[in-house]
Amino acid sequence: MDCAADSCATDTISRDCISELAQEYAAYTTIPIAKEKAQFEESVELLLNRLDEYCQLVDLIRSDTSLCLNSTLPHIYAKSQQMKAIFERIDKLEVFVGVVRRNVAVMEGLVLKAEADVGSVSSVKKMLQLFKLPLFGTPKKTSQSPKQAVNHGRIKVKTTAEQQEAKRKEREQKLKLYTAGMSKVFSKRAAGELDEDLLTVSGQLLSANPDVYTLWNIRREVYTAWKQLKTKDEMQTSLEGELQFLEQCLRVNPKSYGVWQHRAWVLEAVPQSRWAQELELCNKFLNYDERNFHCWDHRRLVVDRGHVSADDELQFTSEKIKDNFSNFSSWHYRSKLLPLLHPNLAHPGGIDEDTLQSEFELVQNAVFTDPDDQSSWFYHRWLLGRQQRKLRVEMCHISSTTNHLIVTLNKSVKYGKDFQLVVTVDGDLTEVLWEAAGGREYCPVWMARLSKDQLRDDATHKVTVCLGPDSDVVTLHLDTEVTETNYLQPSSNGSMFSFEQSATASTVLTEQLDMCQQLHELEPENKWTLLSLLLLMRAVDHRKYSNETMSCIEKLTQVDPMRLNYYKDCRSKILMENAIESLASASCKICLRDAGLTSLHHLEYLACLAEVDLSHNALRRIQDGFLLQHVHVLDLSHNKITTCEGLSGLDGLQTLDLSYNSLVDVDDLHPLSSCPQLKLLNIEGNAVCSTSGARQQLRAMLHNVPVIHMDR
Amino acid sequence: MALPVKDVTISESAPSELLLQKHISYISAYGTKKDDYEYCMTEYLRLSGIYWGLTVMDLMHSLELMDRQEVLQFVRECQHECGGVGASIGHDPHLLYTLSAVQVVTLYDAVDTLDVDAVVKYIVGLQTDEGGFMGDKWGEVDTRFSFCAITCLALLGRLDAVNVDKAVEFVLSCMNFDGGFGCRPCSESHSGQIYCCVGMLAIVGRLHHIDADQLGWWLCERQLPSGGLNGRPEKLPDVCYSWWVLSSLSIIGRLHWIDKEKLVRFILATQDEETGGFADRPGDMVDPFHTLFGIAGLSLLGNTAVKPVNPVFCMPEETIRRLGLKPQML
Repeated sequence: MDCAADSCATDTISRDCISELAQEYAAYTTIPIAKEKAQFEESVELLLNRLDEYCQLVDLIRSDTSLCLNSTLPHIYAKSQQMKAIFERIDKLEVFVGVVRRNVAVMEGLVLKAEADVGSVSSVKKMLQLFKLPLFGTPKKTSQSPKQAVNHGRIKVKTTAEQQEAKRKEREQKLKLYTAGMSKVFSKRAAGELDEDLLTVSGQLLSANPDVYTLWNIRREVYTAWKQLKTKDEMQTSLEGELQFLEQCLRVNPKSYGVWQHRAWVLEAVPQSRWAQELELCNKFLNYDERNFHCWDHRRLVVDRGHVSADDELQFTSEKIKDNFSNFSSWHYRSKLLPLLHPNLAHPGGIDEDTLQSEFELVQNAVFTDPDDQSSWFYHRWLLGRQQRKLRVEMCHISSTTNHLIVTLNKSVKYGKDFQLVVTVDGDLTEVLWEAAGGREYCPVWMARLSKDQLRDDATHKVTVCLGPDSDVVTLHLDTEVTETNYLQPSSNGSMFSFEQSATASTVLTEQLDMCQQLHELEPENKWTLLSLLLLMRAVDHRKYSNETMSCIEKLTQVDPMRLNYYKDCRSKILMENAIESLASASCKICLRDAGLTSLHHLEYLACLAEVDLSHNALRRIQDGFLLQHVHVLDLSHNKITTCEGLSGLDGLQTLDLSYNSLVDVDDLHPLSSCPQLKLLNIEGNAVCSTSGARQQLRAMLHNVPVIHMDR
Repeated sequence: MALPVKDVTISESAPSELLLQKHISYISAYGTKKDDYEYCMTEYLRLSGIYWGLTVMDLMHSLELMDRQEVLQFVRECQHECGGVGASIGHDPHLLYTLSAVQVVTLYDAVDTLDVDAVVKYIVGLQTDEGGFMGDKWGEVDTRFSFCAITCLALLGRLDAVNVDKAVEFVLSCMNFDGGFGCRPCSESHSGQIYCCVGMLAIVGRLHHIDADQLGWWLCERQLPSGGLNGRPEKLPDVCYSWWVLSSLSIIGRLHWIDKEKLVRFILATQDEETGGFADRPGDMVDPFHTLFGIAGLSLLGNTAVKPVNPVFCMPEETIRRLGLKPQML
């Protein structure tokens, strides 16, 4: 019974458990559908939005397409119909251009012939030239040569990706051809196959790039080998073919060194010479470009080999100049031809007076037509000329205290090679050892030391110096009172430096001065006129025009500020020349204080002086300072000097004033350590004084200088 | 009939600062694209290209970015048995590329890369009876080659190997009415040629033959209103003349005769702001040649961001000093 009751109780418990479990299971399987549904709906909404957008897009495209179909396409069609007519017209125009080009060529030939028959008809030719280049010639900037390591005049153009790709493909193709061509050429050359095929392949490569110099060499090898194998006629034909090929190359690239060089070689190699025809080619290419210096040089070869007369060539330059005054190449050529045709016997390298006169007239025409054309002015400057100077002794110095003999010549020369000096002391021929200032090989200043036996300061001496049998003898006298003396060559025709300006007669110079004065009145701002005026005034009478000269320079610095420093240096040169010319024979010092000097000139003329004052100027360096071999006292204070380079090895220098300059580093003063006599150096007012430790460093570096003045 | 002056105008937007970093990237990238069309098509002047690139990189303190071993190996392979050096492997020997090779090995202080005795022998063999030099065995004579020959020998310390007096005589026979020099006797003056002749005379210490005032005047007249320099009268300005004209003026001590500020402005305007490098004129395509001469010009004009350049050798001043060379300067 207990058992039954027990089992009954157990049943009740398990039933409860089961129902509880079932309920829990039921709860477990219930899904929260609302949340899921919300998420789902959101997704659908999003999809619908996208669909909407898509539909709008489709609508947009549809409307665009209809626009395209209904309106743009008909427009394009209409335009293309119109273009057809234009294309036809372009085609006709091209034909017309061809016809005109042929006609012009024919006409040019006829004109050339007519000119040859009748003489120059330059106005017709000039008119024809007007047509030629821009319309029918190849425009200069469409160079197709693939130079990239050296580009000249290749404009950078922005390109689209598509264009770039097309170009890349084209280049890839070209590169393949180039590489294949080159390896074929090299292997044929290595195998000794110097045949027609080698010419063809190398020719294709050279047409694309005429600067591959090795290929021209290979072609020369071919023709050289053929010379042994072929008849003269065959060689003539082959080489004439080569000349034609070269002309094609020149048309593409008229400035290729390789092409012109090869052409010269072929012309030498061709059995029957063709120099006369070649002159025609030169004419043609100088018509395309009158400044092509390759062609001018080629022309001179042709003239030489073809025995063309210098007279004919002069005529050619006259025509070229008539066409265009501004043709520097032609003026240049005249400067080479005239001394051959009309030499000036008195002045080697110059031209005779009559020719000079007519050349001046030609230049006059040019500069009155265009006063800004520099070509004719450069030529004018040449006509004014510079005299070839005969070597002579300009100055001498002798001292019986130092036993120094210093000679200044008018040129930089080398002893033994260019000149020799004969020295006598008291009538006795004396062997001396000559040394150039600064230890140079070529120099205008030469020094020798006489022995104490030869030159005593308690005796009277007569010393002579002479360049040779044809030269003047320079005589110097010393006695117990005068222990040192200077000699100065008396200047002929008033100006020591007139050779710088002119070798021409003074009447011609005066006429030219008048011409420039007239032009100056017409064109007061023209710098070329001012510069010539300056030069001519110096040449005609530098004392009379001294004020005008200076105002000319002042004006030049205003009208041409880019070359301000050139004009300032010109001014310094003139001032120094004037000062040197004013030196008396006995002078031992020169003063150029506060003169506004920016540069130094003709220092060889100061080589025999003991005192030189260049203070209060605007000098930055002492160019050629090594020439001041005798100077004892040198005043360079209040300048802008940044370096003592040029002041080394000055044997006579005792006092040097460099105060108030722009010396910054101690090292800038190093050259002074080689001046053995230097006793007093003043460097006050230079930045170097304020560098720490400068005093000690200078003492160590310049232990040869007992007294150095510097800022405290 | 007054002709308008041939010149260019510099736009306000043109670069006015030195874009050094861009130029370094431009040059260092130039030689890395060996399959590049432009690179391949300039094979005929490769060695000169290498000289331009290395020199400008050295001036920009960046020589270490270049592959020294590769360059020297290439130079070695370009030398022929005759001693002369070709522009590239397989190309014929010529003085132009022999000079570039000598400049490159000097820059790297690796002269032994070349057979120096053979180089000297090659150069000696090219001197003519008149004293001039042929560019190669085919006989073209030009004052450029006088410069190449003398410069090579000076860099190699072997000037005694040729007849210097004769060489000077030839160069002087090419002097003109304007004080300048041309390619051959009677040839018109040209700034590039003037640089060669003045440089050659400076190396052998014969500048006294030059009328420096006359030549300096002609050279300073090369400056146009834009500030740029042209090579001959009535020609357009070009950056490479910033080198030829400027170095000549510097050698004859007359650099201050031109307007430096305006020239600096012109050179800077030829830079390409996108790619780096300098062009001949503002807005044109850049190349390593004009990049060297742009940078070298700026160096002569006193720009201190780049190394000082030697006006005669167109190499860093420190390299020329290392060799103990002291060309004459007026």
